[in-house]
Amino acid sequence: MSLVVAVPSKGRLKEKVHEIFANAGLLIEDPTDSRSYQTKVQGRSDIEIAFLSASEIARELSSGSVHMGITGEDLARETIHDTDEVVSFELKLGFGNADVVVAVPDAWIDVQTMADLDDVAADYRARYGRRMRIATKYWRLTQNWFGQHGIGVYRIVESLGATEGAPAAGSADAIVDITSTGSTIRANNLKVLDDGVILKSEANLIAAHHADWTDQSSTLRREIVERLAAVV
Amino acid sequence: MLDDLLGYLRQVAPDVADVGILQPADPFLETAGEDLRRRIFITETVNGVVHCLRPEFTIPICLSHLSASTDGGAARRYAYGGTVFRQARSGANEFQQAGLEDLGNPDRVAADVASIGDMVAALARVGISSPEIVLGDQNLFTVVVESLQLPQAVARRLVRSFGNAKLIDAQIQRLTEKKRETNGQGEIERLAMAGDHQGLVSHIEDRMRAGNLAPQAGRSPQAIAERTIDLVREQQFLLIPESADILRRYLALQMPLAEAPEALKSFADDTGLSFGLAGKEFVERVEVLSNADLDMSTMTYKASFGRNLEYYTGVLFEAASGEVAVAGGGRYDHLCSLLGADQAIPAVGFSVSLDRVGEAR
Repeated sequence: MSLVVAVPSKGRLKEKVHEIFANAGLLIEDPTDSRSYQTKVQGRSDIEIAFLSASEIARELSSGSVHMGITGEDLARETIHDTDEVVSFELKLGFGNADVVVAVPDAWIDVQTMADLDDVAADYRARYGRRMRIATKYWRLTQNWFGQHGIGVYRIVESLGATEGAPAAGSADAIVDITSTGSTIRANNLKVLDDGVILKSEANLIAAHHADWTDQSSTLRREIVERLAAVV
Repeated sequence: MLDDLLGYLRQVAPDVADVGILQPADPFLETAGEDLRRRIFITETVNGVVHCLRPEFTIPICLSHLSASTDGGAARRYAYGGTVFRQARSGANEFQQAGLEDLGNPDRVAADVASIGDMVAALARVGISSPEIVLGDQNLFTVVVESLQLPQAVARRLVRSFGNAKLIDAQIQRLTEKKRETNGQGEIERLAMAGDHQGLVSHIEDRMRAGNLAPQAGRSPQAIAERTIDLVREQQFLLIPESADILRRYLALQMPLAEAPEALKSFADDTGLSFGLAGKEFVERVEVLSNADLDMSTMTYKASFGRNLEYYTGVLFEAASGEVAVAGGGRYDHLCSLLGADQAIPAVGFSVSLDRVGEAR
C-alpha cells in the first residue's frame, strides 16, 4: 500500500515542485511512458506521484482519491467546500505566491473599503436599474468574503480569463482576482480595497482527510512533511 | 397535513397562480442577491439559461400576478403550498411550505390584519392553537432614523441593517466615536471639502478616460462625486449622545401589542419626535386587530424585529410555538417594483413551515 501525492503536471509550479522534492531527497522520476500521468520517487516503491492540473488536484484532495497534493491555497479554498474540515494545510512551500483581492476602478475615488462597496452596492439597483456586477472565477471565495462583510445584493459574472479587463470592457463593475505584484491591476486602472485582500495564497502541501489512511501511509505523510519542511 | 392546509387556504384566498418546481433563477438572485446562490439548487439548460428548484413561492406568485394583471392590478389573494428546496448544511433539502399572498389591496391595514388572522387560523388547522406572535414595523424604524437628521448615507445604512441587531449596534457605536481628522491635503480631499461637485466630476472623468471606462457603463461621475462629498460630511458627523440614546431606546422597546400605541405615544412625547403617517397606520392596525376575533394576549410588539431584505416595507410578523418559529410574514410593497412592475403594488402575505409545525407539535 503506497502513498499517492498529486503534483502539478505543467508549468513553473511543476518545476518548483520537482526542485524541492529533489532537494528533500525525493527525486521524482520521469514517467517511463511520456503519455503516462503516473510515476514514482526514485528508489521508493512506497510513494506514488500523480501528475494532475492544479484545479484537478484540489478536486482529488476533496474526494480523497489522493492522500496528499500540492496546489495553491486559492484553488483549494475555491474548489473544496468546508475546506478546513476536508483537508489540512501541512506546509507552505514558499512559491506560487499570489493574493486574491477585491479591486474597483481607480475612478471610484469614494471607495476605499468593503464598507464603501456595501454602500455602493445597495444603491445600484435604484440608480442604474441593475445590481452591481463582480467579475471573477472565484465564486466561492467571493460569496464568502462578501457575505462576511454583509454584502448580499450584487451579481457575480463568471470570468475565465483577463478578469482585470472586465470593467473597461463593460462586462462588470469591479473584480475579484488573483495578483502577485499588483502590476496588472494597476495597469488596468484598478485599485485594491484597503481591506480587500481575501487570501494571501501560495503553493501548499495539503493532506486529504477522506483518503484511505493506514499506519504506513500516515508514517509516510509525516516523513514527506518533515523532509520538505527542512528545505523550504 | 399539506392538502388539508391548502384546502383551507384556498377558501380564503381563491386565486390561483401556477408555480412550477423549476423556476428561472434570475428573479431570485436579482431580488435577494448573489448570497442566495449558495442556498438554492441551480441548474442550467443546454443553451445556458439558469434555472433553480423553487426556493419559495412569493416571487413566482408576484411574477405570475404581474403577467396576468391586464386589468390594472386588481386585488388578488393567492393560496399556495408544496415543496420548496434549500441547501442546508446538514439534514433535509426539501421542505413543505404553504401560505398566502395578498396582492394589490390598497387598504393596507385591512390586508395586514386579514393576513395575520388567516395565519393564525391556518396554524390552528394544523394543530398549533395559540402561537406566540411577534410583530415589528419597518416604517416606524425608518421614521425614527429620519427624525434624527443624519447624513443620508448614514441613515440609509441604518435602515438597511434593520433586523440585524449586531450590525445596528456596531453602526451606532461607530457614529458616536470621533473619526480620524482629514488633513485636507490632496486634490480629491480639497475638492470634496470645498463641496466642488464640478471639480470632482472632471477629476473622475479624467480617471475614467485613463481606465477606458465608459461613463454610462456603470457608476456615473456625478454619483461618485456626490458620494465623495457626502463622505466628507459623514467624516465630520458625530452622533450626539441624545440621538444615540433615542435609537437605542427605540430598538429596546418591547411590550404586549395592545399596549404598544400608548408606549409609542409616550416615547414620541418624551423624545419630541413624531411617528407621523407610519404611526397612524400602526395604531389603526392594532385597533383593527383587537376588533378582529384574535387573542391579543399572544401578540408582542418588538421594535427591533425585522428582516434585512430590501423589499419589506411595513409590518413584519412571526408565529412561534414553544421556541419553534412555525410561520412568518409581512408587508413587501417594494417587491413587485423590483420585479419590474411599473407601479407600486401593495403586497402582504405569510408562509407556514410544515416541517417546523411537525417539530412543534
